[in-house]
Amino acid sequence: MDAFYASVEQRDHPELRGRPVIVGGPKDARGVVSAASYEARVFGVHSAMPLRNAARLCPDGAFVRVRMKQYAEVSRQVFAVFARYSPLVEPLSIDEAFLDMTGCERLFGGPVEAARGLRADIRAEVGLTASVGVAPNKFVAKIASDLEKPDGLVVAPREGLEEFLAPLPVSRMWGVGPRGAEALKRVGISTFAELAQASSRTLRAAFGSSAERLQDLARGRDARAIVTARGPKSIGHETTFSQNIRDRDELFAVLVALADQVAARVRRHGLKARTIQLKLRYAPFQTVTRRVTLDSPTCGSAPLIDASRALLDRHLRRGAEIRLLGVSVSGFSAQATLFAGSERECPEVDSAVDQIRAKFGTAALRRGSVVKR
Amino acid sequence: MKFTAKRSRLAEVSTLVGQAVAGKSTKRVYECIRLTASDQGLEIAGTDLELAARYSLTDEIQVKEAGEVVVPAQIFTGVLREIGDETVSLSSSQRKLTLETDGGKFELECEDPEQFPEIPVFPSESTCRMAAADLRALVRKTVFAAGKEAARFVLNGVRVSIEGEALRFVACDGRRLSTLCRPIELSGESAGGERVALVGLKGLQHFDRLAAEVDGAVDLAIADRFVALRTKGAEAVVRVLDGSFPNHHEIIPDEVALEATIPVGRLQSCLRQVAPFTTLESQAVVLTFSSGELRFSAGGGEGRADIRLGIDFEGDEVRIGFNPGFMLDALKNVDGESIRFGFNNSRAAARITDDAGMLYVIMPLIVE
Repeated sequence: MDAFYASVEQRDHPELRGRPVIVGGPKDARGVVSAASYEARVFGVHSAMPLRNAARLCPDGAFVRVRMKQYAEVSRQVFAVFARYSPLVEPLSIDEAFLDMTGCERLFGGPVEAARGLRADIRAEVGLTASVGVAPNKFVAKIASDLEKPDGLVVAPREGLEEFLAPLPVSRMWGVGPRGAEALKRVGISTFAELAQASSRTLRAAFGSSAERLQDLARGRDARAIVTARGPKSIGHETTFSQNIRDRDELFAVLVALADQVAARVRRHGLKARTIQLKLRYAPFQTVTRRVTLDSPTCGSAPLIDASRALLDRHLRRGAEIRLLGVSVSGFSAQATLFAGSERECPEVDSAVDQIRAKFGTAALRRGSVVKR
Repeated sequence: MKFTAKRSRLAEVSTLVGQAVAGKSTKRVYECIRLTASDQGLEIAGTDLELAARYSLTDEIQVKEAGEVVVPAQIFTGVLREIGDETVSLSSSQRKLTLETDGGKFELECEDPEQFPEIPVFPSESTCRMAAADLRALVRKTVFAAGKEAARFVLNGVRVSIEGEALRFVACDGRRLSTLCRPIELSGESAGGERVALVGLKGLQHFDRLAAEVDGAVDLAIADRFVALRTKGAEAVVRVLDGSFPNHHEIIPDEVALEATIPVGRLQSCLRQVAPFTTLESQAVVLTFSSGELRFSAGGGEGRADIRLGIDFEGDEVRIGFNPGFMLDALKNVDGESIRFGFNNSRAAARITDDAGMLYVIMPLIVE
């Protein structure tokens, strides 16, 4: 999808169409840009940039808050369209996926026709534009889809993939960020063609064991299969405070709310987690993570909250100012246990809370420790 | 102190006692074993303050002069194992132990016997007698299921209890449990009622080694603070762990709705064939029971395995998933040609029983 969050905002709020839209929050807020419309990108605004920098670059932009629930709903609609075109869909993010079109030729008249149909269906049913790349493998498809954004359709030739990629700058390469591009530049490589032709010795000296893989990709070789229904590896929530927090009680209240949200998501996925990780960013931008592994996996709010609190209690430096706090869980397992889990586990309470929140909203029911005194 | 001994036997016994001693300690004396020579023979003792062992050598030893030395266990046993001589002569003077062979001479610096920790003696109260082979079966068929993580400390031990005329071991790591009972003869002042202790694995493994040395019977005592074993020639005392073992009676399924008899070798083979296909995301080997057949399947995005085994089973198709490692652990320690596998449904505990009376309870991996 093209500038997904920003496009959803423009679709839902016609007054924003044609204007630079920056999704992330008010322009004086802390935090970062989640998405920028193409109009905003002209000013140099891009996602992951601090909102204040975005405000400096684009003072007249429309700064809007993130409406995650709405984006998730639109994403669901988009993925429903994907599912009509192929049974093998590998979600890459909320608005991107790989579709394996092998064997679907007779249904849609070839991948290019299928891509046209897909784009038209998304536009008609969801009201948004999508960019599609058609290629013999995942790596090239991803690159092709990015080439003519927004609203683009790029077909990579089955024969001559290497020539197709040759003129592209290496920064287009998936997984090569500004640093990687710079490292490549230092050994005299700035295009795919140069990377493909570079001596493997030079590359290995600069990139070690990943050199071979880089070179394969530069030649358009990628044998990875489409992996559908990949379960989450971790589930987490974090929050950046609008003002640094020094007060312990306040921090613990935020932590409880975060852990509770994480637990609810773990339950929604039908999972149980064993490892709980706390993320703390101190005011001078020093980030620490600390984790603990439980005896048995759990999806209960109480044991996850207990574990998070114990972590914060043990690792929070006295009197420190905290800028960001996060909780995530991993180590998912479906292994049942002989004992009824931790005594703190109350599945009936959790399930009742989940149902009430599903019906009346997350704010309908809060833990006492989260309510401001 | 002065004696000669058969080298191989002295090496064996020193190694056995040396296993009770701490490998590395802040005080050198805790890395030592004590040799005490008297007209009765030689006693070798060692302890890491959790486990204490003493062994008496009466045969194949000639004591010429009584006395006592405390020697570093590792060097002493290491030397004895390596030298090739049939017999060795040992003598001590002051704080030095001299070990002489045909080919050479070793001098070891010793510690002060006064500093050596006290080695507790086998208690007289509350003892029972049992076959050494039975004690070994209890250890072998349960310890593998004990917990290995420090987090839930009580599960890292084995629950040892006297129940009437039987000794029961229970080990459990929270996901599987193994238990076995063996007959005993009560002796001493054994009062009625259940006696229970939680014992660490190191102590039980030491009991097993001592029991392996004898053919006949061994004595076991469960006291308040420790559990002790006595064999012909040896004694070991292990401090019990604090904490109460969770109620295992509640989690052992009394009745199972479905049961099948499965040959052990075939079952192991099938599990080993499909186990490599489990992944982090799909950890289970799924067993699908149907009339006359058991199917094993595993895998996900990176490949799948699906094999069949003809078995004696009647009933509707039912699926249950397991961590294959937990099943294989049990199958390595069962006795007999086949096991009985019983279960109720795909979410509740299943059980494996063998010809020797072992009961293994295993929780499934929940599969959709």
